[in-house]
Amino acid sequence: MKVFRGAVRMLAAGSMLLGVTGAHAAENAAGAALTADAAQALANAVFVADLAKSKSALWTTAAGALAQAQDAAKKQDSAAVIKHAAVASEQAFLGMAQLGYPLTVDH
Amino acid sequence: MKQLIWIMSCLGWLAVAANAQAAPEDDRLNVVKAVQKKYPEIKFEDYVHGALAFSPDAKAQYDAVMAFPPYDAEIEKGAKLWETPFQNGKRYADCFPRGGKNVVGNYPMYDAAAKKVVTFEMALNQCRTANGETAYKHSDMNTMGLLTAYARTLSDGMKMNVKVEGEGALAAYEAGKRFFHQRRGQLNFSCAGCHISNVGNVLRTEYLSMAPGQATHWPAFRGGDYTLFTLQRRYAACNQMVRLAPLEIGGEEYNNLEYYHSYLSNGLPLQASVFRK
Ligand code: HEC
Repeated sequence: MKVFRGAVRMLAAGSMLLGVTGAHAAENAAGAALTADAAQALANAVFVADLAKSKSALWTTAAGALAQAQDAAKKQDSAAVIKHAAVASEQAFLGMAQLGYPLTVDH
Repeated sequence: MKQLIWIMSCLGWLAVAANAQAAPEDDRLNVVKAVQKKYPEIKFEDYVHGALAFSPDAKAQYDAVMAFPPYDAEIEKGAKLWETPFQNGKRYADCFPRGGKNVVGNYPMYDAAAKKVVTFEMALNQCRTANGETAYKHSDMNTMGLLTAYARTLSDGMKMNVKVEGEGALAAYEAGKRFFHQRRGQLNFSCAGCHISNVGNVLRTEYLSMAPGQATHWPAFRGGDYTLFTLQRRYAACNQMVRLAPLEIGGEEYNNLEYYHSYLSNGLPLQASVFRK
């Protein structure tokens, strides 16, 4: 229960932060041919993945999805960017939420 | 009343102090007991063989490879690195007691002045930088890996003898212990989940080895092409197996993990550069 609440809190805090950085990134990416939504989704995913990495909690599934999103961005495929970025963000959040799980016992 | 409180608090502190020393040894004994309970027929000394203890076929293959290790040339390269004097004429042997013989079992050790765990690899780098050479990257198997492949053979037969003394050391040990028991990666496994709770069970095609003994035999030359793996590279591989992006080899988290993990191997003899699948 505590874990769940922790995860929800983290999600809430995360999305607040994301709103900020996302908007910022969309501005930066204004020149690119990605839609604003796609640019924001990508910036969000980069942000959350970095955060997870700084906590040593980055899943390879998050890193992999992020790489796919970045690839899609190079090809200016906004729909694919949004799809992969969403997976990356979700998997990165789950990795961080895992830090709140109780430790395993020896036997 | 005041006096009583004072006495009680002294007793309390004594208990805390005694506990600080006893806790790691209790941890180790508990883990060993858990393995012994599950596999009473496997001798404690044989824990150094890890997963081979569960498979006579794999052990036979291991014995055949070890009779004439095909990776001897690599260890020779390591010997050359170890023997070659630095620019200033000094050698690695000058940095360690007994010229580097029977030292590795004392690592990792806690450096109270620097407030951190020092692995054998760090000690080798300290030797280099103290003598005006640049440090090797811990993740570079062609320099640090090869160097340890030879340097660690000088401690073959020494028993693992990691010490946890003092508050800082205990904190580092506890950090390593937490790491070992923390679920990680998309598969949601802790190290302990595989190497304590599931010892002897088969994961895909491999038996799972027991944590005690795992730190005694590095580096390992793995697979058909005998790829060199230091202990921390193995940590990275196990992290990756559960779909966690590996952490920095030689970084503080793996160093603390190695401190706890090596303590679990206390009392078991070292043997450098073995073959593993
Ligand atoms: C999903 C299960 C799993 C998890 C979790 C896991 N490992 Fe492993 N580990 C393996 C398998 C499989 C092997 C190869 C067979 C063996 O030796 O146990 C292995 C091998 C090892 C070895 C080499 C043993 C030897 O004798 O060559 C070490 C050391 C090790 N693991 C440490 C760790 C540490 C530390 C962690 C936590 C960071 C960890 N493992 C997490 C499955 C796992």
